[in-house]
Amino acid sequence: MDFWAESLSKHWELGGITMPLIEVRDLCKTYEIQKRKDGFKNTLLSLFKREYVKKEAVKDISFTIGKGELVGYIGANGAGKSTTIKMLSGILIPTSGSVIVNGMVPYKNRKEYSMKIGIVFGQRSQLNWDLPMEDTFQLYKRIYKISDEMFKRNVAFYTELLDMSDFIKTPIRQLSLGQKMKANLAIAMLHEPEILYLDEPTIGLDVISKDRMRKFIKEINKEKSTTVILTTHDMNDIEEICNRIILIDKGKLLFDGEKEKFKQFKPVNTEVTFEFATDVNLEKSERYNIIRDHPLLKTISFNKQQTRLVDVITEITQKYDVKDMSIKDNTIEEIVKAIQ
Amino acid sequence: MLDYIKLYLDFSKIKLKTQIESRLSFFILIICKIVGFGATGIMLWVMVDKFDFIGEWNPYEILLLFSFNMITYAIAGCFFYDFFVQLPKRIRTGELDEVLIKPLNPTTYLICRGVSAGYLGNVTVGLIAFFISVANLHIIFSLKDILMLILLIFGSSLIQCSVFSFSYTPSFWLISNNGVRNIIGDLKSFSDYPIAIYNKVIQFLLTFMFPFGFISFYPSQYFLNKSDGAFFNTSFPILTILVGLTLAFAGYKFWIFGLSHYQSTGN
Repeated sequence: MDFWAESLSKHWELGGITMPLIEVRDLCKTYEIQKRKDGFKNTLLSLFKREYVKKEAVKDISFTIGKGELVGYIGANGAGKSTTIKMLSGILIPTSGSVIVNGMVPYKNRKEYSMKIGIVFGQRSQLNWDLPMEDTFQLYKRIYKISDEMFKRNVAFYTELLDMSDFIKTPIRQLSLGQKMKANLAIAMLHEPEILYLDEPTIGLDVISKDRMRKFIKEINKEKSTTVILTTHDMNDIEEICNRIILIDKGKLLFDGEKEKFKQFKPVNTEVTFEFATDVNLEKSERYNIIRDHPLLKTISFNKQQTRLVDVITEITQKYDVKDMSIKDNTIEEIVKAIQ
Repeated sequence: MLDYIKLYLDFSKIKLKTQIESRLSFFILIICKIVGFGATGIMLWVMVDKFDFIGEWNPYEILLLFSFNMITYAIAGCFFYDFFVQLPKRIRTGELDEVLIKPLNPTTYLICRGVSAGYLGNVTVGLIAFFISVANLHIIFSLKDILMLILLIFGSSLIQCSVFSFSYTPSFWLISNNGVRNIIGDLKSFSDYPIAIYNKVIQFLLTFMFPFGFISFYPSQYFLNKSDGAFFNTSFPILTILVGLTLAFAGYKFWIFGLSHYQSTGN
């Protein structure tokens, strides 16, 4: 019974048949990149004859996403995350395969489709630099044909939720990175899209801003049951926002499932960096390996499944005079290794 | 349509607001405009005053030709200058992404964003030159001539629009688009003068391959009752409208084709 209730809430209905909101099938995107060779002679030759290398940015990816899901779309740098998001949002045309969202093909029904989606690119702002937020809201009200009632409600709601009231009259170029990010989010959500695509939304932000962003994303998912798909590098984003993870590596799908299941994949090795007060000669132990060895700064690595972190730290701090230390968090790269 | 006009007005307001906000650059802009118009005016005056006949064309006839070119270029530039000149930058930086995720037609949206009232000044200067030349040549316009004038300006403006598209759309494929732009620009500058003065090969090129002759030469011939040029045909003035429509359609399709090859940029 619970199972049915859950699956029904995740899917929307179309003529009695439940269908996923986003359906991606065998999606591929290949770029042709010109092969470059060194030397002036080769550069001249390339005027006449060029060789192209095919780079498969996205390779046979299939998944479905239901309404109201919070999906973390993750992978290492260059894994094909942004390319997928750009195909989902209709900016790029797939080389092969299909994306169907709400019965629409994103790049074919751009006009209609963009009313249903909101997009935020972490490293690129879609705002006019010279305008303050206040005027930008007005402009987007016109572009998205938002009713007065909805406009007032959302501006008030987002200003409050993102704590924007003190910079709403400042031209955007004078805002901090965190404030710009908030502004971009509010603009993307102004027309209450069904789906929100976020490409690295927390990149470069401080802890407080990150926290604010995460709260906002969770809140709008709860309030407006917006489906959110975000790409990220930050494991904390995944931990705090997502309820489902899709992991890709080198353009291929590696894992697709619930967050709890994803968390079982613990990275094999953990790295700890110690800073010593005096120059020490750290001996190799059966518990750990030394991977970086500087006079005052040493990084060790150990197998997490066999050795407890506490034991390693105790051992070293008892023997040597440790000034400081840092533990490298589970990175996506390490988890990718663990899954493979 | 009405929505787009409103949107255009919104963008204009923003532009004006931004320009006024930084007072210094606003005044510099105004001074630039005045100097620019002044220079054009002096150039036209020198042309009429000092030039002799070029081919079979007297200075006032050349002024008419020149004003035709200027008016239609300004009309096209009004809508497409910012649109296409900014295009290579927008492609390189991935700024075009933003255009593709708006619930608006990308073409109309970019036109709205880029419409520049500044070109109205150029149109005015062009019109003044046109009237000076008409007055001095004692051309009398019948109702049919006025109708023709409107149609010819329309057709010629469409050709000018398509020149923008053909010059800048290749930047979807080329990292540096300057080559294409320069070739088209150079070819087009032939049409600043009566093309009858050139070698037959060039006349052929400017009539049939790159029909820049239809921008100002053939339309002017209609009002001046001229029939010089190696390939002259009485249907040419009328043909201007057809050439304009065809080229504008091709230019539009080319731009849409380029847009479908847009690769965006990585993060």
